[in-house]
Amino acid sequence: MAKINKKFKLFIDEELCKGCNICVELCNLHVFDISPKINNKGYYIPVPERIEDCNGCQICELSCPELSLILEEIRL
Amino acid sequence: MTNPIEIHKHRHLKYLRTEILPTAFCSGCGCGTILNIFVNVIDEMGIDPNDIIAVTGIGCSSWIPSPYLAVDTLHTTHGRAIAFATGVKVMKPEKHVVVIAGDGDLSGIGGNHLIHAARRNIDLKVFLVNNFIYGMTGGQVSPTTPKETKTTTTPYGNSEQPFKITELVAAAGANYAARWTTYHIFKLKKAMKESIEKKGFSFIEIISQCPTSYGRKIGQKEGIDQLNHFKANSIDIKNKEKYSEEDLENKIVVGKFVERNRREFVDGLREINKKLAVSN
Amino acid sequence: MNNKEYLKDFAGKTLFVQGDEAAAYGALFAGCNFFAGYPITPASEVAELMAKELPKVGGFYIQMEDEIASMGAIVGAAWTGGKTMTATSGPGFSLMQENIGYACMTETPCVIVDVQRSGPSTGQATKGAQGDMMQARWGTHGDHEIIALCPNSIQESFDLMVEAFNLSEKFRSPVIFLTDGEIGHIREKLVIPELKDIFIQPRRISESKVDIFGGERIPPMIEFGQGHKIHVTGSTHKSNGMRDVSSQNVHDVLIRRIYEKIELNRDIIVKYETHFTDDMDYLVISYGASARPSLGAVHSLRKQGKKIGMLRLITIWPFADKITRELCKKVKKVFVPEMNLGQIAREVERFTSNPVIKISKIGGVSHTINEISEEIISNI
Repeated sequence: MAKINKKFKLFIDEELCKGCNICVELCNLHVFDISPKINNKGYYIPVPERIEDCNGCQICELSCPELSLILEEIRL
Repeated sequence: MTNPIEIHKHRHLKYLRTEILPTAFCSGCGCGTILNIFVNVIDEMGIDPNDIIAVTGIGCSSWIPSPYLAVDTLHTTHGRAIAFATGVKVMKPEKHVVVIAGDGDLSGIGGNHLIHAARRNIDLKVFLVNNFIYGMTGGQVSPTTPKETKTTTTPYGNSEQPFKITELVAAAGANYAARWTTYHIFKLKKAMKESIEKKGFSFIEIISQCPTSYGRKIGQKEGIDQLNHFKANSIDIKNKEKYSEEDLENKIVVGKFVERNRREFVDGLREINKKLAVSN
Repeated sequence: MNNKEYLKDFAGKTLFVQGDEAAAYGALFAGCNFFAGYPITPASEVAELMAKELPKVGGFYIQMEDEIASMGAIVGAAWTGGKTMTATSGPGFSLMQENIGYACMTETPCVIVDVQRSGPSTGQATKGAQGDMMQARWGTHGDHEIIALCPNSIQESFDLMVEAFNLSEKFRSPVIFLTDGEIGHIREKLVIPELKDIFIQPRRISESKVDIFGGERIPPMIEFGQGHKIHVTGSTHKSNGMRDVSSQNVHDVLIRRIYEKIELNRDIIVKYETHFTDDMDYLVISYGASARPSLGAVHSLRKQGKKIGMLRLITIWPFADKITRELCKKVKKVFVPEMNLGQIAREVERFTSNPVIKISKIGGVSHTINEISEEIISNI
């Protein structure tokens, strides 16, 4: 397996997320899982369970209707 | 392996009035996505928010700029955003005057202003959020609701033909007209950039999801269901010729419909003033 | 070429013009730099003159697709630094009502000219009337106060237009210039004053971020582009402009303030003229075009020895309550000649228990002096 020199971090702003799951569904690499955890507004927030598969395409970040998904590039 | 969830804030929240977040949009609504893409665009283009004046009307999508966008904001009466924006633009042509409102607002009650602004080719950036329904008032038929759809005011199915708004605006004389959906986020982003760069009336019809007042009624309960529908039913304008008019009836033709360089309205007004100043 | 240089050429000159044109000149001298309108008889001459002259003073005339858009555009331009106006007649005035309410709610200075014609509906398009008196007051929905001025001559069309702009700036409110097809279309002498003799009320602008929808009774404005990211909405809003449509208190505070800023300043705003009111048994109250034959009738009845006085209302809204009450007390009967079926007569009734006799004339023809004096004589 080829070694990649950059990886990504994903953060969910729990205060803003409304659990619409658009990120979960739109991610072609199936990085997210629906969380069993409910935030204080009663929404199930997603978890970037397979972050190692993320290629940083930004589709989750840009399509998030609440600006609650933050994608960050990290250098190894 | 589970990732610990850290408290982290989006870098583009600086463009929003954060004290009123989270938004009032329903979970899965496309309005927030459009807001997200718009602030991404102004960030990438390096536009100072102080150089943007947002004008809007009434309805859910009018809430995209007002109150969330932290720029000078004029939240006008229903359907009249473009008329108010015309006054704004004439007085301050150096500003980016952006109108974001819905299909009911801009093409229903405000349809006359839309076509006339396109005809004048005034340098407004108009993003019409088309969710096929009057969402804020609870799901009444709109000028864009597809035929046969049952809404609260078409309980036996919509017998009217929906508007093809982008085609209408292109025909009316706009310098830029495109249609994309909230599924096509990268193409929408590119179109927003193009429309802002383009001088003249620049228009994007953004097909968007309304899970609460529309999706639920057509068997697409979640926002994502409608996004998947957009994905499956969009046809690029480049391939439009391959389809018959009948085939296209229930499809969403996406892409850039027109891009041209007609003289802009305010430029025309200012030219007259310049000439008169010389002759006097 | 700036505004002043061009206007200097006009200053001090005597012109022979229509009331509509005089109103347009008044607007130019008041500093109007943005006009949006839609053609309508008998108001089109205002637009035509503005279209010709505004570009010469660096201003902008735009013809919109309808009166709704015209009213919207002048509000948008006002928030972007414009001194703005539109001109219309009854049918267009009806269309403007929602956005006039928006201007009230957002406290936007602007001037709306209504050259009244016979209505309702299309009515007699080319004939003057005074049928919009109450529409000017209550045309838009919800509680609000409004300022409306009624000129009765060509000179006054000019002078009151300057006043209309000044009041709109001073009170941050739309002002209705409520003229009529008679005054709008007759020609008379207009003497343009010297520039130094024209007072212009400057707009109060705050350079620093302050609450522009509260804090004081008439807060200063911040315009678009000043860098303060202001929020202007027709929804109920807090003093910082942000929408709050659920708190009873926020709505109450906002609407009462907008109401009171005019209501409590009635004495500053209200203008009127009196004739022979020191010694009278009967009072005539009139305004605009109908005040002209009214005054003629008063003069002719005085010659016959009848003790008749007259109150001419120049400001219609807010209503001249004090002087009306005071003068009505002195007389046995009050006569109100007007070109409608008694809109202002009814308002006068609120201030007196004496009989108020309507002298109404509709159909697009002004009262004659004889008609009014005969009506008065038969009632005294």
